[in-house]
Amino acid sequence: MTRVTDSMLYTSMRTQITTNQERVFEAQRRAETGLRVQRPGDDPVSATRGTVLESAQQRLESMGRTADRAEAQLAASEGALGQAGNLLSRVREIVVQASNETYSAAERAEMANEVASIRAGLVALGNQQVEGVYVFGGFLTDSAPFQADGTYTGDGGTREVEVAPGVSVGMNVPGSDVFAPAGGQDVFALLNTLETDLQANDVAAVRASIDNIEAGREQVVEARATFGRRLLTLEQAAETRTQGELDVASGLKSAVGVDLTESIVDLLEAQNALDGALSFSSRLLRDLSNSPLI
Amino acid sequence: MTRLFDTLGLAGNALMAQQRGTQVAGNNIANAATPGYHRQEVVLESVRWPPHGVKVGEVRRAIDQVLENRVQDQGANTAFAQTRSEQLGRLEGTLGELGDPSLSATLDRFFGSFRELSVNPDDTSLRQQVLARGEDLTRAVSQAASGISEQQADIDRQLRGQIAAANVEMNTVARLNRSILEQEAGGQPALELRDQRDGAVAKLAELVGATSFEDSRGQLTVQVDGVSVVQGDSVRPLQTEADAATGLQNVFVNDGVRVDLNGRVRNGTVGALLTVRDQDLPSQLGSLDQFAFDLATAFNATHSTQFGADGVTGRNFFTTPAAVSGAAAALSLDAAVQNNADAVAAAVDPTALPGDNRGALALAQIEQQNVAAGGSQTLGQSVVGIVGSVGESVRSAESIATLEQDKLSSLEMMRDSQSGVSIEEEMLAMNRFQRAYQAASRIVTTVDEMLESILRM
Repeated sequence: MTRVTDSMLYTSMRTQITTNQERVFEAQRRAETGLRVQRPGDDPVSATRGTVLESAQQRLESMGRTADRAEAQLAASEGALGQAGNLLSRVREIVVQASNETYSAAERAEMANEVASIRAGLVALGNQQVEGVYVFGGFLTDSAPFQADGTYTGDGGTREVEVAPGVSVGMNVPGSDVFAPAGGQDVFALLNTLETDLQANDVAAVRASIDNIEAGREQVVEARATFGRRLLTLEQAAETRTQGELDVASGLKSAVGVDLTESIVDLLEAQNALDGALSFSSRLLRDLSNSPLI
Repeated sequence: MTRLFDTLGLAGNALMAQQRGTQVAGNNIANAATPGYHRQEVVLESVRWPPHGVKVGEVRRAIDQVLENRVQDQGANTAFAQTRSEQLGRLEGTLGELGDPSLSATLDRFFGSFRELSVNPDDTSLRQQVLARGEDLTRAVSQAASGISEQQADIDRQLRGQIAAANVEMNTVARLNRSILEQEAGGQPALELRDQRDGAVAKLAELVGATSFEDSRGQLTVQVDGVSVVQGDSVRPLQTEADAATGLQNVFVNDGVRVDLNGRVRNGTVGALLTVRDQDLPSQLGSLDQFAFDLATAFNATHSTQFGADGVTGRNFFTTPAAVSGAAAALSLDAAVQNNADAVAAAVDPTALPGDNRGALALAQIEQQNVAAGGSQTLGQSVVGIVGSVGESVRSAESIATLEQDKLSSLEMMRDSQSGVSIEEEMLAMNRFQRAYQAASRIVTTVDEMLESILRM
C-alpha cells in the first residue's frame, strides 16, 4: 500500500494539467498550420522526404520556365519557315511560267526582279529575331546570320535546353541546315542562278532548274516539320511536368501534412482532456481544504 | 512512598516525551511544503531503569538513502538529457527548416539559375541571377557554419556560469559538513542541516553529475567521476580556462596537481554542454565543411575549363578551399566572377559565343552527379543527409529527455511517499500525543492526591 502525501497529490495534479495543456497546444498548432512535421526533429524520415520532394518541385518549375522560352523561339522559327515555304512555292510557279515559250524576254526580266525580292524576303526571314536572339544563327545569336546575297555567317550549333527530367530539346536549327545543308540544295545559290538565267532569258536553263527548286522547297518544308515535332515534344514535356508536380504535391501532403478533419478532432479531444483534468483538480483541492481533521 | 515519587518521575518523562512528539509533528506540518524537507519521526522508547516511563529514543528523518541516491543520479541524467535536447534543437534551427530559405532550397535555386541561363547565355540579367543565387548559397553555408561556432561560444558562456554555480554549492556542502560535525558531536542530530546538504548535493548532481557518499563520521565526500571535489570541510573548486588551440573552455581542478575534467564530466547540465560542444557540433560542422569543399571543388573543376562571355577561360566560380576543415565558413564567390557577370563560364567553345550554352548545361548537370562524400552521393543528398542527421539526433534526444523525466518523476513520487509529509497523518499523530499527554498529566494529578492522603495520615 502506498503512502500518499500532500506533495504527491499536488505534483500529480500539476503534471496532469501541464501534460494536457501541451497536448492542446500541439493539436492547435497542427490544425492551424496543416503540418504534422514543422521541423526535422518532428519526424526526420518524413522531413527528409519532404526536402527531397521540394527539390523536385523546384526543378520542375525551373524546367517549366525554360520550356516556355524555348517554345517562343520554336514557334517563331516554325512560323518563319512556313512563310519561307510559301515564298519558295511562288518561285516554283515562276519557274513553271518562265519555262513556257510564250513569255517574252521583258516578262522574264520582270520575273527576275520578283525572284530578287523573294530572295530579300528569305534573307529577312533567316535573320528573324526572338527576344533579341537571332534564331537561325546557330550559336552566333548576336548578329544577323544571312547577308544580302544569302551568304551564311552563323555557325552550325544547336542550342539545347532541358524541359523535363531527362528530356532535352533543341531550340533552334542553324540556318545553314535549312537553306544549304551538306548533300542538299543551296537555296540561295539556286535563287541567284535563277535570277541570272531569267535576266539572260535562258529558258532551257530555267526549265532545267525546276527539280532542284522543288527539292529546295521540300527541304524548307521538312525543316519546318522539325520545329513542329519539337513543339510536340514540348507539349509532352509539359504533361510530364504537370504529372510530376501533382505527384510532388500529394507526396508532400502525405509526408508532412495533416488531415484537417483529423487535426480538429485531435484538438477537441485534447481540450476535453484538459477540461477534465482541471475540473478534477479543482474538486480535489476543494475536498482537501474541507478535510475534517484540520 | 519511593514508588510514588518514582511514578511522578515516570509521568514527568511521559509529559516531556509527548511534548517532544507534538513539537516534531508540528514541525512536520509547518514544513509540509518546504522543498527537500524529509519528514521527521519520533522514536519512543521505554525507559529501562527507574523511574521508567517513556523517552524519545531519537528523532530521525524518514529517509531511504538508497532511494535518495537513485533520485540524485536520475536528476543528473534528466538534466543531461534536457540540456542536450535543447542545444540540439538550437542546432536544428541554425541549419534551417522545411521551406524557404532552407539550405536545400538555396542549393536547388543555384543550380536552377544555370538551367535558366542555358536558354540565353547572352542575357545579362540571367547572368546576374547566377551570381546572385551563388551569393545566396555561399551566404547560407557560411552563416550555418558561423551559427554553429556561435553556439559553441554560447555554450562556453553558459559553462562558466554553471561551473560558478557548482562551486557555490560545493562550498555550501563543505560548510554544512563542518556544522553537522559540530552539532552532532554535541549529541544533537542535525536533521535540517542534513536536509540542506542533501539539497546542495542534488543540485551538484544536476549541474555536473556529481556523486556522493557519507563516511562514518557523517561527513559527505562529493566526487566527479571519482575525482574528489569536496572532502569534509575542504573544497577543490572547479576552474575553467580557454584552450590554447581551440579557444574553447577547459574544465579542471588544480590544488597543486592539475586534473582535467573535460571528458570526465559526463552527466548533468555541464556534461551535456560539453558533449554537444565537443561532439555533436563539430560532427555536423564537419559534414557541412565536407559539403562546401565538394561543392567548390566539383564546380570549379568544370567552370575553369569553360569560357565566359568575354572569351576568357580558367576562372574559378568559388574561392578554392584550402582544406576540408573550415571550408564552409570560408565559402565565397571567387574574385574573378564577383560583380563580373560576363565571367560566368557558360560556353565551351570561344568561337561559338554568345549563344553557346553547353557550359551552362554542364554546370547545371553537376546537380545530378555524385560529386560529394568521396563520389558516393550528390550535393543535394549531402545537404539532406546533414539535415536528416540533425533531425534524427534531435528526435532521439527529445524522446530520451521525456523518458528520463518520467523516470525522475516516478522516483520522486516514491521518495515523496517515503519522506513526504501527509497533513492528515500528522494531525492524527498530534492527536495521539495530545491524549497521551492528557493521560500523563492525569497520572500526576492522581499521584499528587495519593501523596496528599499519605501526608495527612
